[in-house]
Amino acid sequence: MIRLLAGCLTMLFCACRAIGTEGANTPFDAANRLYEEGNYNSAVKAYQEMLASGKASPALYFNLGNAWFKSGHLGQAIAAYRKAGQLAPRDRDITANLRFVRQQVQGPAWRPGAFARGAGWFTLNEWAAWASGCWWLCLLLLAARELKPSLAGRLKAPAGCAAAAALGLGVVLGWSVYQARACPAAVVVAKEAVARHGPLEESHETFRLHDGAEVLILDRKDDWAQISADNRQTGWVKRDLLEPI
Amino acid sequence: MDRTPRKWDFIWRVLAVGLILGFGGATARSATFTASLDRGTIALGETATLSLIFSGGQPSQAPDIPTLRNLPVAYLGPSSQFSVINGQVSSSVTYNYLLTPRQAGDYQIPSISAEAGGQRLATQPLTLRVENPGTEAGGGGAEFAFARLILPRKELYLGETITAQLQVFIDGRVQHGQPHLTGFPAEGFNVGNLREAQVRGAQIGAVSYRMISVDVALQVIKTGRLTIGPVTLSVPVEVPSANRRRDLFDPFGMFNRAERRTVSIAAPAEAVQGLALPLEGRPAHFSGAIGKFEMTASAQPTNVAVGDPITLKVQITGSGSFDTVELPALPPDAKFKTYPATTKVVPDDPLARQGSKTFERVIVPESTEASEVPAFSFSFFDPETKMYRTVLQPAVPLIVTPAPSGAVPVIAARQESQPASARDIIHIKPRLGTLSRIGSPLVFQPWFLTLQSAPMLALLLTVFWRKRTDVLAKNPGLRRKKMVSALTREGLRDLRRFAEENQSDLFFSTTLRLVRENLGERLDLPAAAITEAILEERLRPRGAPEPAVAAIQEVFQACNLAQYSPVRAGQELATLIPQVEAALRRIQELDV
Repeated sequence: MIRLLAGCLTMLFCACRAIGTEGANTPFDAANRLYEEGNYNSAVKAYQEMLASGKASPALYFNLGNAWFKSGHLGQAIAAYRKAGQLAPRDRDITANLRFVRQQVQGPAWRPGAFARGAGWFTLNEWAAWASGCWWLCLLLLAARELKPSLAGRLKAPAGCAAAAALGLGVVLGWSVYQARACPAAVVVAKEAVARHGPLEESHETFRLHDGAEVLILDRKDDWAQISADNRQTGWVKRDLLEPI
Repeated sequence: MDRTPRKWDFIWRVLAVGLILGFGGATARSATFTASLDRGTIALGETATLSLIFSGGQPSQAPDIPTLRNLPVAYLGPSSQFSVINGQVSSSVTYNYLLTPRQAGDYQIPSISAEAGGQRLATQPLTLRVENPGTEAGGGGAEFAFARLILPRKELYLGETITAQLQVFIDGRVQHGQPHLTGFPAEGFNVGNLREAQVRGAQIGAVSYRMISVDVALQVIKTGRLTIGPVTLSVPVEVPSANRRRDLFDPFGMFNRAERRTVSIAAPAEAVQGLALPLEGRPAHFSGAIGKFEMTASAQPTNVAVGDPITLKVQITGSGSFDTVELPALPPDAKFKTYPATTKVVPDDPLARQGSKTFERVIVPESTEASEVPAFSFSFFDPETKMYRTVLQPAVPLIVTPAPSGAVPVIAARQESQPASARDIIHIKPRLGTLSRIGSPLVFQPWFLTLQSAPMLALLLTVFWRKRTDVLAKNPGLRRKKMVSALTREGLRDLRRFAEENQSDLFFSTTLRLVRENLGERLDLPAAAITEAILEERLRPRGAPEPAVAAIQEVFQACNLAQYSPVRAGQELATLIPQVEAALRRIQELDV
């Protein structure tokens, strides 16, 4: 009886897996075939059509980044790898390809500091889940202290630890959210982007950025974005030359 | 015979001459003579200070100022400065003069010449603008304060950075707080840093004002007609109360009574013309620097082998926009391998208009033919003279020897530690993985944020429950009241059931128990101690209302009667329930 049940479960699992794989990966496999055939522009379109459905996965962004890179678009490739990294920050393949493409980029580019790199080890949702979990644990332990005063002594240390963890994680989460909202990152996706003193075509040129240069967006005005390339230089660049991350 | 003293005398004389020559060489470099005004524009009634500065030399007496009509000049005295920086000795003497104009208008202070350090030197001419206070105050609009915006010139060049001064005049007789800037429209300008407010006294006509001045850096980003302002401010002031009533305790008005209010003032808008940089005379290697700059450069070391790094340090100092100052390029045929330069900007003032920008570039001679760091130049546009200027850096001679046998040194690029660089990207992934919806992160989802309030709610509920439990534990009266209340609710339900089931004994025993428990709770006595006699002993003496006592007595009597004739019909019992309920209600209403 147990063997029969186990066999049924195995068959059911395999069937579900097969349905899931066949059903979801067909356009993905077709896009991968285009890539394998060297038809990179068509592969880019195929991956983008999948993204247009409103769903994404790290592998989808990763392959899109590869296709962009092979078709000679460093900026678009970096943007795709960065988006893949936001979903799977600890994926070594994504990190390696991003590093490789960054080496091809010329001129100034913004690089995250040590704290930002540490915060980027987890996704925003993972930080939120950790912080939320510690917050819940802390408050439920405090509630348990109220319900059972005899346990107050034993619950004091765990509640304190949970509170400290919730506070620390909340700070990191808040900083990450602030960075994502106040100074979002973007990538130059044109061959060259001229940064100007003001958000006007007549304004004096400050510096030039090349395809793939990563920048921070400090402000926006009409069709222009004020960007910082290396924490020292700021300038206004046309927004259509940037791909936000 | 006596040769030793002569010999020492000779040595001392040579040393003394050497020291004097060396010191003189350090100090008596080219002498300069400049003139400056502390302010370019003043109001009639104010004064300006003219400073004549001699550097590297000193005149025998204070220079004479030519007589100017309606502009009396008073000599204030000299001040001197002496400094030694990195072995470089410099000294300067400043002669100060007070200018007190008698009439509004533009005053041209002509070139002033003087003899210093054996040279005949002359200053550049200056212009002092004196405005009529009546017209200046036009931007005010308040009787106690007004403001004005002072610009250095009316014609500005694209990319130029200027210092505009916002002056706020507040009547000296009025107490006031810190003015707050409420609007600073500057079309065609990038508004930069602000310098902290400076306060000083100013006399305009017969009125003494406190003048608060704020400097602001503005960069021109557009050509054509540009407008700055009107700059609006709010100033909290305390003015003497106009409708002060006679006070019994202050009949002579000795105590200061003031009315506090906020005054809104505006500095009138100023129109300027934004000009494009002239094409005529523009040097080929002009990079867009606008201002007044000087350049110094050094190369270290100068005795190297082929492949050894040389640090070329170029410092550009002066005033203007340092954003557009770029490292002058070396001639393309230079026999050096160059590396990207590092840049450091050190502002000397809060507006970041004056200071220095230092570039450090590593260059590596590629052959022994690289016998010098070639000469290079830096060009900038001077908006005051409206001309391009080029400063030259002469070539720095080098001694370059052939590289020693072995590997040629390599300049390590400053990069993050990385593994050995790959030759190509990692191949695509064959599996799609888990798809997730592209959307806002959890922290922006309303349901997630709402969910975070749940544990807080749980904690609040437990705290409330805990407090309530503590209150009950500390108050036996309240605890008994709650217990009796629960017992009464349950007992009344039982009475209805006993009436339906026609259980007369249980009905009356329950009724008696309910009355005893309720009375016991009100009188703070054990329920077992309650009898009908309590009515006479405790309730009536304590002033209980007669209807209440009568209602309770009726229930007692009904219970007593049931002991003698226990069997009653269920319908009859049901009619007694409202009577019992009324009696219990009256017991609870007793104030004994």
